[in-house]
Amino acid sequence: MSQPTATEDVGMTPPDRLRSLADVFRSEAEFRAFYDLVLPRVYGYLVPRCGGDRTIAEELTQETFVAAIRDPHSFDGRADPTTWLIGIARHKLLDHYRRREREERRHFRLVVRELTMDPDANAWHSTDERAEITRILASMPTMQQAVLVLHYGDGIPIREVAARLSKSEMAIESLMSRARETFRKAYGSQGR
Amino acid sequence: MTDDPVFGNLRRALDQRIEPEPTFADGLFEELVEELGYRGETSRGRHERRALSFPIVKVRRDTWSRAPRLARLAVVAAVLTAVALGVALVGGYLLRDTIILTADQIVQRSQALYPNPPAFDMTVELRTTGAISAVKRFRYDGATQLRTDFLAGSADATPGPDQPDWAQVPGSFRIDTATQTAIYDAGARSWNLQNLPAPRPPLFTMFPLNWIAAKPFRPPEPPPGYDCPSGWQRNGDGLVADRPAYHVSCGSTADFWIDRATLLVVGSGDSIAATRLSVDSIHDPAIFALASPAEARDANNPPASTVLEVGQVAPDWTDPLQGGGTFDSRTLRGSAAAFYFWAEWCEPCIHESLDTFAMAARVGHPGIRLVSVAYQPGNESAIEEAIGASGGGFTVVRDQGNGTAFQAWGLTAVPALVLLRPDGSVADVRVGPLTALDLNAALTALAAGLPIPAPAVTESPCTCPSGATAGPTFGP
Repeated sequence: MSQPTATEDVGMTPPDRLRSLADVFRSEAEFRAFYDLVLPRVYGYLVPRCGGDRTIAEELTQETFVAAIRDPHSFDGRADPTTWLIGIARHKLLDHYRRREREERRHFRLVVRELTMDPDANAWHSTDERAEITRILASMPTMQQAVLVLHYGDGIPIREVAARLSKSEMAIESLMSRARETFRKAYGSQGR
Repeated sequence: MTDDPVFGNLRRALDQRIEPEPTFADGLFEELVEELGYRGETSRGRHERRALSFPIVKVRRDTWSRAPRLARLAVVAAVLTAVALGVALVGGYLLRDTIILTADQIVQRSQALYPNPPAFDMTVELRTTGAISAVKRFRYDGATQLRTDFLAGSADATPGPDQPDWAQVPGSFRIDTATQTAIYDAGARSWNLQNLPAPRPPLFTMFPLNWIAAKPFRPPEPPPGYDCPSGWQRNGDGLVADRPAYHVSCGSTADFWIDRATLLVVGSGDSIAATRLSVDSIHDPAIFALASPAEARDANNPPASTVLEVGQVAPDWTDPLQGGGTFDSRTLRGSAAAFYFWAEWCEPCIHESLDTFAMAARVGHPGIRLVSVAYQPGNESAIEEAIGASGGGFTVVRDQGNGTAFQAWGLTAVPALVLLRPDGSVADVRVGPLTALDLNAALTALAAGLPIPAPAVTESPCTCPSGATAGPTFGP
């Protein structure tokens, strides 16, 4: 398997490639097939980027699909429908990050997050690296999580990350170095 | 993109395929299918409703931050509008007076207050021809007690029907209750307490400022009020007693200032105006106590003398003697002296009382000179006749005309007994008929230079006209 590129939906196997959007929406049966295929992808995209919070991931998933069927014209046909859906999901995710950052600025979310995430419980129960990374991301400030997710997880270049987060490239660069530092410390403390 | 293996792990960790809960998956599918209209329903118009009814979405989100911007702006606008309306309503209420009240309304409201005004403490200045003639303080308990204090007065003010004698000396005061009136005249130092025979008119009729017209009236008629057939006019507001006041007038016949806050009348024309006012005052109950001041003397039992003070040298006087000659009180200096003031026309003065004095003169008390003073005597033969019955033997001074001696010594009644020490200072002054017991005791003490014992029996003084004020002085 070749390394995925930024514009491709990561992890999609060739047998999963789909027909055009017109095929997707032709009938309920076609839609059902499409739905069963992409739902785990969208949901799987959102869960680790929401710090493992499945309730928020469900909300964002619902928002993603509803937005997609209300405006199928946003699909420009260049990529496949799954990529298109992930793009919508990314939009919803950034909205989520922005809301969270506003709440953080009110010093609300950070406190709640520290209380709800139980680092000790995770530390000696979790053997799953993915879950661990998810937890580390969740414990980070939202914007640091956002830049790591967008740049390393989604492969989006710094300039585009800056545009999507409505910040300057300088701001994103400094945010990125802080985020890397935070992640490295938390990740390294797990004894790897 | 970095080659840091850490972030390679990150990327892989973020690349997941996760199956959501079936309830969520199926619920979302149903929602989407309905939206797409696969089942024959028109879906587009029902977006909002369906999105809201989808159970999972609502659980955790903060409603406000999720609400569309427009909805939030609408709520804020509604709140601001409500606040603005509230401010307008409150402001309109507070400003109501400046907009709404006519002169007639102001007068009507003020007059309605007066049968039952609130407790107050008001100081007023009265002016005649521009100069302050009196300053009085009125304290009303809001129920049944009113105290009037005379604080200051002009020397030029002359007593008249509405300015009785008592109100001329600062420190004088008057207390009115439902059933009694008490007056303290600081000039005469007299205390006069009267029980009223019949219920009096309401106390507010005695306020310095009220809506009672200055005309006599007879209770139980209601007091005549002020009305203005042509309609009251409202003049510019002003300050009275440093408080905002309305100003209303009725042509040239009436002019009143009315306190805005309390609707009490606080001024009338140029002749009377409040200088201090507090309302709903809690008065010290002691100010209404119907107890005479310590320095007062009972007007119903006037003092024997308004001049003589025990221990002070008595003023000197001269008078003609019965039978001719002149008597000079100074000639008695150097020995104790007893003066018996009497009048042949005063029954209590003669008979036993005069006999007693004559007896004392005959028996003699060595060192004491006894002098009788016939106050406003008749002709000589009338005196002779009166003395003759007593046996005589004592000096008789004729204190005729207005009574030189009587006035000089400020006596208030006859019979009266004045005892002087050898140095001319007063040993005792008393009024009332003499008894042998009391006179002997007094003269014995005088001769010994001792304090004079009080009479054993207090006789009521003669009601003969003696120049003292008898009975109450009334007036507003």
